[in-house]
Amino acid sequence: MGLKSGSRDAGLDESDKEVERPTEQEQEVSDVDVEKERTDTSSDESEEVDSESTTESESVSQRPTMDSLPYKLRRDKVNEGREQVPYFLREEIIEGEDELQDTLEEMLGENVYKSDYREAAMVAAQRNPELIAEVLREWGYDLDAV
Amino acid sequence: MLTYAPVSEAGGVGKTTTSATLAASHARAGHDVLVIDMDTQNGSLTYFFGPDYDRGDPEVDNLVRHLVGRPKGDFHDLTIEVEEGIDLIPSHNMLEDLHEFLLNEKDQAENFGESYSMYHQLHRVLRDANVRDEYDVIIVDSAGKAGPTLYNALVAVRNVVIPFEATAKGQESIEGLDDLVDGLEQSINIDVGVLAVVPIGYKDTRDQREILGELRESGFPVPVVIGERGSLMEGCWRQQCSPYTYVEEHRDRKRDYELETLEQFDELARHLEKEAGLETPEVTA
Repeated sequence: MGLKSGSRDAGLDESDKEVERPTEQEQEVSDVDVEKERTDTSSDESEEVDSESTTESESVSQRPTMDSLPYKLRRDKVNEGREQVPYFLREEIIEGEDELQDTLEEMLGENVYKSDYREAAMVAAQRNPELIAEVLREWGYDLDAV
Repeated sequence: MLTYAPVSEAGGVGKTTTSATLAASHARAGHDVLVIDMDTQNGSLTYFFGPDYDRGDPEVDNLVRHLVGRPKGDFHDLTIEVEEGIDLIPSHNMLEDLHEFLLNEKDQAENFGESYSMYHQLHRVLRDANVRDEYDVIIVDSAGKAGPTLYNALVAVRNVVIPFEATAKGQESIEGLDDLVDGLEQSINIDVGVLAVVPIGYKDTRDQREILGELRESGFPVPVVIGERGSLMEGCWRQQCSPYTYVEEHRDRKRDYELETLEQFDELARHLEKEAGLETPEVTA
């Protein structure tokens, strides 16, 4: 899901290089902006407990550290900490990604980013090399094996 | 500062007239507005405001030269005042080859071991020109299709306003935009916000009511719904001026429904200003 409501700062108000400034505008910020850590979580709207809001109230004695949070929850942007690598895929494989995405979204009950399932596919591959070997054999590797 | 790009994948929903009308409304509320026309199609903002300008002259300094780091003059000399409070940077035919130019720059930079982002060039140009000192509002009218022009626009302004035709075609175009923004976020890590979805040419049929209902449920802000205003907009194109100017100067009698349309655009402009935290200056009309 790419489109989200709410206003973004284009960073043209600062003269120097992109500074990530928390915008502290005293206006009614539309509550769609969950990504921005806001400390005033005392609003009594019955909003669903959103996995994105990492601001715990101070009274919790054992607050999780950033590192103990799952990657999806502790990052500010989808590709935080990721390096871009070129990945060459054939057309039918790319087409198959949409179906994979739908299936995953159904299983997990929420939107899944392409970057996430692609990297997760690599993780799954690293954990299960035998599955990868199987596909590679379909492609003609290991032909002189018995 | 309020910065946005009207975007719509579907053609003909009035992207250009929306940009022009909003620009006029911001200006009439006392804001200094910069409008950047990056749409290479004829019938773009540059034609709408009709400044005397040759978009085909490769010798003349233009925005593309600045984007690829080969300006012939100062950024501020690119602007033409088209109505009071509205400066326009006109479209130029060189924009059609922008992709190629940017790729060349990227290759060049990489030959020297520098990193280069093809999509951050408009942002760089605007920042280096200190637009913040001169303008309160920046509107970029860009191509409707994904590509370096639209990406440069989105990276520079980070916010979109979506003119929307309440039809199945319109719904599809919102889905297309969704994919586009998703791709943008994934490839260059920027976050794009939707300031408003604006149904235009709304006729209140049963189908349209249903689509509008779905749109409202989608959680996007829908501050105003604008009806069919063909003759008003046609008049604006003919006279090459904003609807406000048209109704004031070229209509022999004021038509209530047209005044209502102008009020709605005003309401929309105030909504956008508020979203960006702009103070509305006192206007002495």
